[in-house]
Amino acid sequence: MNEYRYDNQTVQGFILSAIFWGVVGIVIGLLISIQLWAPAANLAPWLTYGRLRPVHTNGLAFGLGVGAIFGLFYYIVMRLCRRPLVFPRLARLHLWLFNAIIAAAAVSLLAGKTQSLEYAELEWPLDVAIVVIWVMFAVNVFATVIKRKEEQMYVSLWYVLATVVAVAILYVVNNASVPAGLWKSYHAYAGVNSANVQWWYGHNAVGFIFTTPILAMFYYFLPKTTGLPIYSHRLSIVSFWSLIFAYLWTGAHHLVYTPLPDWIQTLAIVFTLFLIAPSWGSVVNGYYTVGADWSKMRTNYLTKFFVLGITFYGLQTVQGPTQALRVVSQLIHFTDWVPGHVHMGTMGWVTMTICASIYYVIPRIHGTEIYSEKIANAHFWLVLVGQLLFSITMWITGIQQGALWKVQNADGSLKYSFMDGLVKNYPYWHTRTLAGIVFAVGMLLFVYNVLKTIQKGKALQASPPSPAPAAA
Amino acid sequence: MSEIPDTAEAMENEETAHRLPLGWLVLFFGLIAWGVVYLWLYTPALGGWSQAGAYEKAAQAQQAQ
Ligand code: HEM
Ligand code: HEM
Repeated sequence: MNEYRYDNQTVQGFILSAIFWGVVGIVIGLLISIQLWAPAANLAPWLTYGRLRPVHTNGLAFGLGVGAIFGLFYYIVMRLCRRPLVFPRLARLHLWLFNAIIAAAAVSLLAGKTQSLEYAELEWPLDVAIVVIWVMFAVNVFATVIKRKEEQMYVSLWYVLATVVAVAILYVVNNASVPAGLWKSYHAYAGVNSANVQWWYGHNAVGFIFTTPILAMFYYFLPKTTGLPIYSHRLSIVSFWSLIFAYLWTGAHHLVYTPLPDWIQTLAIVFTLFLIAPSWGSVVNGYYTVGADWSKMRTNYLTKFFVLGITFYGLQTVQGPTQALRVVSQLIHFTDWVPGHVHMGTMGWVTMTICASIYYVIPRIHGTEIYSEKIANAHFWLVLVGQLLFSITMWITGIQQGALWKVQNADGSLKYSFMDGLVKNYPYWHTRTLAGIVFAVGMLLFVYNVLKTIQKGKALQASPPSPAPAAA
Repeated sequence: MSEIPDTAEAMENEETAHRLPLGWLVLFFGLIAWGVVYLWLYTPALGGWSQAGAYEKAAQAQQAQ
């Protein structure tokens, strides 16, 4: 009956995989947050903070984030191109390989195999495998867009294409390395050049994993859930091109006050501040869209996810540029302020938007309604409280840390030792673990709700009710 | 359930499709203007400021105390 059925199953496979890796990543997040204040929780060599931290970041960025991106992009592309995927079986193979790679990645990181470049830890054999599946993904997305049945390209498709192209370039350039054995390699660049390429990549991982794909979802699912059309096409397109143009110049803001030449730092800071404009172009567009009918906040349970998500994106894209200013960087860099920034973005914007998109897609695939709006609302409030508590405690202790490090005695020596600063973190680190638990409980409700919805959809399929099911 | 594919037209508001809010335009061009000034001031070959120079100055000021 439905030519999208096979592809929809692939989409659901990616969504369930993303959820699985999300749960793993969050549990490990809780553990590493405990290890920071309870060293005894470093149980075995492969369960120490140093090994687990990259499993947390890779698991959530690439398992949860990219898994959701694959699934939801296939979904969005099919709908906006008005046709099924051109290569359905390739997408299914892509799904299996994706999970095999993430599993292998987790094992290799636990074994301590790493390129020692943040977000590019995976060693070269895994890099090769990742390039292969990314090409499979790109081929399918581009073929489907080229053979589309809808002439006009909605803004989400632009964000999809930018993500596919930019990630490919970034990944290949920064993971270029000289192998010295199966699980050991050296970065193709040395010294300051290595750092510069690494943070060009690192920042754009944020740009093209945690920003452009999430905007593609936001621009697509906000109008779909609310029934309100996007406020301004022109604003969305101008924002898109200026965002893409500016993002690629900003990486060096991670290297303020380093041996990197001053002019490169300055240029990066200029582009970084400029990024506020294209970022807020999407924020404004989102607000004006919902502004056409604010009652949707009450009448449609998903609207608040998107509105809060774009709000945290807005805050994130003011806080981020501010951090790049020399006067701010010298205070907050190396402190816990940065994890505060990171988790407002990852929990408040990225995970919030992905969850809302999944809530939209899963019932549609099964021709049913969400299992429980009540549970979804409880999920919303728990993750919101957990994230705010996490970010705010980290900002406070971060500023305190940065300030303590600078205090000097009359002779110019440092007044506070490393231990003085560390001990002052403990109450905040305890609170962060609590915040993580609140967030994790919220996410478990989400998982339960999604699984129950799928179960409901399957039951429906097994015994279709005599009158046609209400169109979702 | 039957699929209802999207049309780009249905996703966008026709009446406001070409609008760019004034406040946003001010932000956009304001940041470019700020960027030009900042770039000039903090590029060693242009405005003369440098990380090492700023450090020297601060160190001398401390010594003078
Ligand atoms: C205009 C947008 C943004 C700008 C200009 C920006 C800027 C920055 C800066 C300057 C830092 C470095 C802080 C330091 O170490 O001194 C940073 C760190 C970080 N930001 Fe943002 N940010 C932005 C948006 C976001 C968003 C939306 C996310 C989404 C999750 C995000 C995630 C991160 C992450 C993960 C790091 C940590 C990088 C590391 O490992 O050191 N940022 N950001
Ligand atoms: C229960 C929830 C979570 C907890 C308890 C948690 C905990 C942590 C901890 C303790 C760190 C290390 C901070 C440090 O270096 O001092 C960290 C880093 C990080 N987490 Fe999480 N996390 C959670 C959720 C998430 C989610 C949902 C994402 C992404 C979708 C995420 C992405 C990251 C990233 C990218 C970093 C690296 C930040 C940097 O290098 O500055 N986390 N997390």
